[in-house]
Amino acid sequence: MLDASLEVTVGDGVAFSFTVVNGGDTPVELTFRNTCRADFAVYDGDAEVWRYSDDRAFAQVLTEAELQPGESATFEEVWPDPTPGDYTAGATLRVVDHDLSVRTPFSV
Amino acid sequence: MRDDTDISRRTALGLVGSGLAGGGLVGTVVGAEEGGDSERVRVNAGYRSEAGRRAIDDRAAVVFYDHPTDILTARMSRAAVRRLRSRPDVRFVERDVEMEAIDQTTPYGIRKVDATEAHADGDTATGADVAVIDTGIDSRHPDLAGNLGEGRAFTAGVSTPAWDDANGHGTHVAGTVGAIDDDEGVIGVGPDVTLHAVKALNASGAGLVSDIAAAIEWTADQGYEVGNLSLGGGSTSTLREACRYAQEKGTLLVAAAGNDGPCSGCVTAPARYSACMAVSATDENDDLASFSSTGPEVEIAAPGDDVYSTYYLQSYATLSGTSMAAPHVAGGAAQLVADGYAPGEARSRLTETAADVGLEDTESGAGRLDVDAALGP
Repeated sequence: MLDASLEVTVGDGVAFSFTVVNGGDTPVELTFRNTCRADFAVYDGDAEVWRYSDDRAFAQVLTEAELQPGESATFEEVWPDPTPGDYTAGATLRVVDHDLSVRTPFSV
Repeated sequence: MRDDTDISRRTALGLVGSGLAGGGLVGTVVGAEEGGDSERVRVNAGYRSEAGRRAIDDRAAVVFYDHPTDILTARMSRAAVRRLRSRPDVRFVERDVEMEAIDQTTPYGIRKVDATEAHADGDTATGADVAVIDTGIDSRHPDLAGNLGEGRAFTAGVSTPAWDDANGHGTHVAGTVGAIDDDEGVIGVGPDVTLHAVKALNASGAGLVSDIAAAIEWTADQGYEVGNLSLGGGSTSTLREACRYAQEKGTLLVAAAGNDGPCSGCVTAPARYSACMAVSATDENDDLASFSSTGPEVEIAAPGDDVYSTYYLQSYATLSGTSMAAPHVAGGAAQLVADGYAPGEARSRLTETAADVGLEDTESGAGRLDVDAALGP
């Protein structure tokens, strides 16, 4: 049982901190699809205005990790050039066999 | 008491020793360098009687193993070693040695794509140039160093000559393309190919699209016949046009289809561009690897599940991904280039001769890579 939370900090850029916690009582095996372990996006209404992975390439190799009960993993990225407005931030864990996404509204 | 310096010394000796013998196990003497009487060494000491055993035990700083064969593995001073050797109730005191398997392993993928047959026919991709556009290549890897050519790094907008691998991924890819045929480690598809490290992914395995584009353009400008792209991500005009530029310059780009499977119509960029040859991943049974992306852009399939190859820090590792499939094809293309094919011709020859392993067109394109069939009789 994985729980996710997304913290947004607005400063010079917009910093995202995506935390995944194993809230169950058995270890959870995670297989990341490539070196983009978590992806981040910013939406203005329904329109996607920025995505972390859009201007990047990643090694296409699987990597594995195990989250023990109560253990967490945090992934961080920055939206470097925000324009003022009201947005929704989205974060997705890029793993096999689990579908884990979370959204948080924020304003710049 | 623990002698902390011993670890690094053992490692250094192990590296020196690993190149010395052919086949089987080779021993490397531990702690054989100069040192005073008080310096501690790791030994195996055999005894003849209980008194001999006590003598060893008394002089040992640490006893690691008590073998049923009347031998103790222990750490003790050189002076103690000398004294024990003079006792009749001690059978021997010998230095502990680090055993290292140094037989060459042929990874299943190399056999699967019939590269083994090509090697037996004397086809080793001599003279072909393959750019590994990736995290770099371990310049000190004994299974690769002899095949390394020029390199360049393009990271975060800066171009430098510092292309060494701080991640491992590029070294793994390079080994599948062209690890040297010798008495250790692994063998690649084209064991005499020239490998060029074009570093465009950082130590975390990520790179900006502009870095990848610059790396592709540099590869094309060097005139290398083949470029391997075991990477994928966002699609941009810059990346698409860099791939087209390389194609026009005569460089064949071989790219990983992506690891988003099971999925359909999900081939990542740059593999989905027509200037790139998209490679999906299969396993040891020629089944599609569950993680492999599929789609109409897939041209060929190659082993990508549990692939054993070279790794950074002069080691070896088993990794899975379409990243591991693409370099089999890049190595196959290098074999054809060495045989006289132009890079573009190599691309069509590889698909014409691919083996039908019963997968859908969107899963494996023309089929699974067969290097020996491509080289022909």
